[in-house]
Amino acid sequence: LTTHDLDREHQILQLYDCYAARLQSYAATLVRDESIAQDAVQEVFLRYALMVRDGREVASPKAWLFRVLRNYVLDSVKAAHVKNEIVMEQMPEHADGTEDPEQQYASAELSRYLLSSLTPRELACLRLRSHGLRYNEIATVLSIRPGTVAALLSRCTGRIQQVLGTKPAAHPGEAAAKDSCAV
Amino acid sequence: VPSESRKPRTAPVAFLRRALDRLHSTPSGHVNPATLLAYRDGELPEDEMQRIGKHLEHCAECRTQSELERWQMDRLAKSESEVPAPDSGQRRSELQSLLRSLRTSAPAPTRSLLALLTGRKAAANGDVQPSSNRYRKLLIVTILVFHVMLGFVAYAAWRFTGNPRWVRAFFGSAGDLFLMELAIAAFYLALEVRRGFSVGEPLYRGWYLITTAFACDVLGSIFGKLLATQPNPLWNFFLPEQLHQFGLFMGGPLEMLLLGGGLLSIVHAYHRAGIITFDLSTPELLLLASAMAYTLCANIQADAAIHSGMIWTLQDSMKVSLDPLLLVLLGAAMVLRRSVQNLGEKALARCWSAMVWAICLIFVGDMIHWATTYHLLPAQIGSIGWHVWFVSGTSYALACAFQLQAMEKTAECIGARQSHSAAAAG
Repeated sequence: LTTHDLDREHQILQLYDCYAARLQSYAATLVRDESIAQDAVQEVFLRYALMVRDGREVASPKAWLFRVLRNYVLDSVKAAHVKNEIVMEQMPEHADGTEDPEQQYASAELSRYLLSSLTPRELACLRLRSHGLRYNEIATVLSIRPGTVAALLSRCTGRIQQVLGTKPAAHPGEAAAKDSCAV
Repeated sequence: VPSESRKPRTAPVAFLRRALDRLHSTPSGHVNPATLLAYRDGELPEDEMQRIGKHLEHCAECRTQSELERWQMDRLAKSESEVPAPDSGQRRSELQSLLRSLRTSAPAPTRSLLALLTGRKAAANGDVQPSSNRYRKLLIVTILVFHVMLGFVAYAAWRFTGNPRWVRAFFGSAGDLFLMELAIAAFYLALEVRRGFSVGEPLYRGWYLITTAFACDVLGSIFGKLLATQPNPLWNFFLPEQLHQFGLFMGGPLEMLLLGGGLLSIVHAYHRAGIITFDLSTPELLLLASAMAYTLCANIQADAAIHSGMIWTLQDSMKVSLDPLLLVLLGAAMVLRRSVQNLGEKALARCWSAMVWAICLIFVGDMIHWATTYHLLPAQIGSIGWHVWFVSGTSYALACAFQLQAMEKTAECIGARQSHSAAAAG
């Protein structure tokens, strides 16, 4: 047993403290199953430990962890014959902090509608960004260029603008959501 | 733990400036939405940040757009990230003990990694039947030794009697037959490996392509060699020249392309799983460098030969054009070998070692052929050198055999673990 081993373990646990919660919440958005998400996070940290065992370095541990976690979860979802990345019925109900149940329903409906109008790549970018990844990290995770990340994310907002701006009566939740925005 | 600070990027060169400006702004002179978003997320280079900050001070339209984007993005992000993360204290101590066990015991891949590398069927319930032919590797090697000895007998007969027909007859009949046997063995074993993976698994596509490559090899050795050799006048009479060339194409470029596709697909799967490592050792790098040097030499010389009006057959050009592809194959096999070695998977490491050997030996065979063609080596050496093809073919078959062995080992290991836990539960 060397101090090097201890150092490395300490380093991995530090990474765990930093990112485990975010990784798990990210995994949960992909698969909507707490136990699979928890297992995935543990698996990813074990793989990381195997990877850095002989003094090897991983260039960006955060991006590495997110990339491997994403691939692992998507592969296991694929294996379970659940092909859709988004499970609409199980989206979080409380999309924002408003108290009024009617408005809550409306805005949850709207989120659902908006998210369903995004392409898988746009959604993937959005998810990673909302879990605190920087553009170049998102690019590493999805194997795309950083410039593409910015374009995809701006397309997300463009899509919302399109939905809210040009088709006001297309969906029951929109009027209410617009009101809440104005307030 | 890495810091979250953003690295300042170097300022773009002046002449790129105008192009960049055009990229960042809409035709009407405003900042485009993607750049605005990147600005708000602090992802632009330092000078761009300042420039757009200044623009926003003056331009109300862009400011409104930016505010709108901020609201929309926050809203989307909020609806996505509001999954409560449960307390992970128990999980943390679990991980700690797992890390500690990793420190003391020999490194072993996790179960899900085993499932990735050797197929979910093997890792799920020990489904793969224990091998009925445990001696398949021994069998392959024994037949190889027999053929090589036969070849040397033919060679000795040539040296003693001075009649080269001995060697020609050997390579024309027994040799080609043996190459076909090896191709069939490799195809059969690869098919067995492919059966261990179900559709949609990360390694399925890779092994599918490798199996197809070996099927092409079988067809190639039948049409390109066995039916077209000189002491076989009957077959040669029936076999049209096109079919012969088709066989050469199947056993040459097509096989190597498919094999390359398979290996790269497996590299991709390893990369996705985060277990790839590119740190090759110095001997491996030297080997790659010398293969590269040979490829360059052979291609330059081929070019010169074509220009000087040398008669150039289809087979020759196939050989030369294949070398760069072989180089990629060699690199991929080396990386795969290094990656599984790193995981402590011995049988799998042997599988990719055999693959590395097979590809290396093709290079050696090509080199000998090339050297004898240009009279850099005496013809006798060339005829001994032909045995390299046998060893190369054997290595392909052995690679598949080792992968099968790894799959059986996983199945046994998981089966034993399951019966152990069942006994503990009982």
